[in-house]
Amino acid sequence: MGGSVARRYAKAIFAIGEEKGNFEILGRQLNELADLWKDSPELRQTLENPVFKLSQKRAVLQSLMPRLAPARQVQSLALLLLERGRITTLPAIARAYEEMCDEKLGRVRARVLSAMPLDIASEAEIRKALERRTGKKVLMTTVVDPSLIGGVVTHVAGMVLDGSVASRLSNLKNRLLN
Amino acid sequence: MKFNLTTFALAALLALGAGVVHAQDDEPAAEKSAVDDTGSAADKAAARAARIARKRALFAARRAAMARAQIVVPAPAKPTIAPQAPAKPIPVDQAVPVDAEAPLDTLPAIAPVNEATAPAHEVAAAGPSHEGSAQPGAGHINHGEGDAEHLADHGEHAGFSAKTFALQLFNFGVLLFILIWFGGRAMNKSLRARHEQLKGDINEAARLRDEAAQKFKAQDQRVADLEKEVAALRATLRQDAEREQVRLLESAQERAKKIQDDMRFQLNQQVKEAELLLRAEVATASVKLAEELVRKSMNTDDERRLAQEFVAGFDGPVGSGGAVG
Repeated sequence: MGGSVARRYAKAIFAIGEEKGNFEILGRQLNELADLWKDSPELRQTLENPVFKLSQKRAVLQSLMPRLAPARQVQSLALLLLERGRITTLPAIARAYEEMCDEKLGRVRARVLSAMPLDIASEAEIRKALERRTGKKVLMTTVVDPSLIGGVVTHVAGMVLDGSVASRLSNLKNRLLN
Repeated sequence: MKFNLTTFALAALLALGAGVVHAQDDEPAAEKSAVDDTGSAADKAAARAARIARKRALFAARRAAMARAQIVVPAPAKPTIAPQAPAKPIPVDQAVPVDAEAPLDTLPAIAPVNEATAPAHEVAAAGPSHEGSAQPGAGHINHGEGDAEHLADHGEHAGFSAKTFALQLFNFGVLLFILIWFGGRAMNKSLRARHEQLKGDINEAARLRDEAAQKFKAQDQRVADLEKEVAALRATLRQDAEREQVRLLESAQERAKKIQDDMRFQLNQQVKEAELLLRAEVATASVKLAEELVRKSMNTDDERRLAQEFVAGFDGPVGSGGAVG
């Protein structure tokens, strides 16, 4: 439910940004605001606490807006979510907006997990391979996960490409058991 | 004579009536006794008359013998019809001793002592009545009177009278008519009923006898077949016991086989479980050992090589370079 609500809000603001031609800027500001929401528990407690009045919450949020999101559309969206008690959906709205932007710009985001940090050549090879596979520009982020033992696991466009040693050993164990 | 016939007829009629009454009561024994009573009543009357006559004759003979033995002769009695001569005394040596207990026919013949006695006898026998010639108080005359009565009775019995016989026949005919007229139907009816009853009783007795004979025969046959039945029963019981033994053995064998199968199945299952458990342990241990070895031997070159293999798998079919979710 939260996803559909967030998607409706994201679609609305994306339509405004697309109309104004600044949807990438709006998306970036929206991401920064979402990161602040995720990274600041004090802010979450203040805005979610019913002890504080709506005017007080609005005053707190308005004091942060000029620095984080100078765009008026993003400020209006944040205040609207606060008034309607849906400020908690802000991260989900930021992700949905990002997907809409990527879709608009022909991009795809990939998340690459590896047991050891990858060198630049390997990352470039993986990016190129993913771009060939998806046919879109790949925005790749890398994460180190020692539990993989070795190899690479990639999450891209709703798919999981698992080339880790851990998965191979798991398959080997299943074959031995069966 | 008339009195005797009437008495006899009345007695016979009463006896017959009593017999008829008893016959109507369906009492065969009573009917028989009634018939017997009828005959015995007539016989009794006749026997009684004969006994009285014998006693009288015996008494008269004794008196006559005693009179002949005595010397003293009583005063001469007046002759009824003709005068009698005075009796002469008989000497003692001429007296004949007489046994008082001897029967009449064994007594010696006595000659008339007194001439007046014989005529008196004859006169008395010819006279119409015994009572008219008797004179009380005269002993010899009394003897003569008893003899006369005795002779008179003998005369009546000895003589045959056609008239009397005709009267007797008539009386008998009347009696027979009365008996047939008044008692014939009832007697026939009772006799017929008795006949039917006896016939039915005989048939019932025959039927009961036949049934008893059949029952006896059946019982006898049953007793005769009892040993065969016992033998057959014993054989049947033996067969049943053998059959039951076979059935129990088969049942026990089936049960044992089923238990063996169950145990074998359980053992197989346990062996399989043990195999699976052992295989899992072996696989887990192997994978763990391999993981440790890989971790120890993994370096950047290996990581690069794995990344290249991963990238190479992108160009081929999905999953060739690794797992694809």
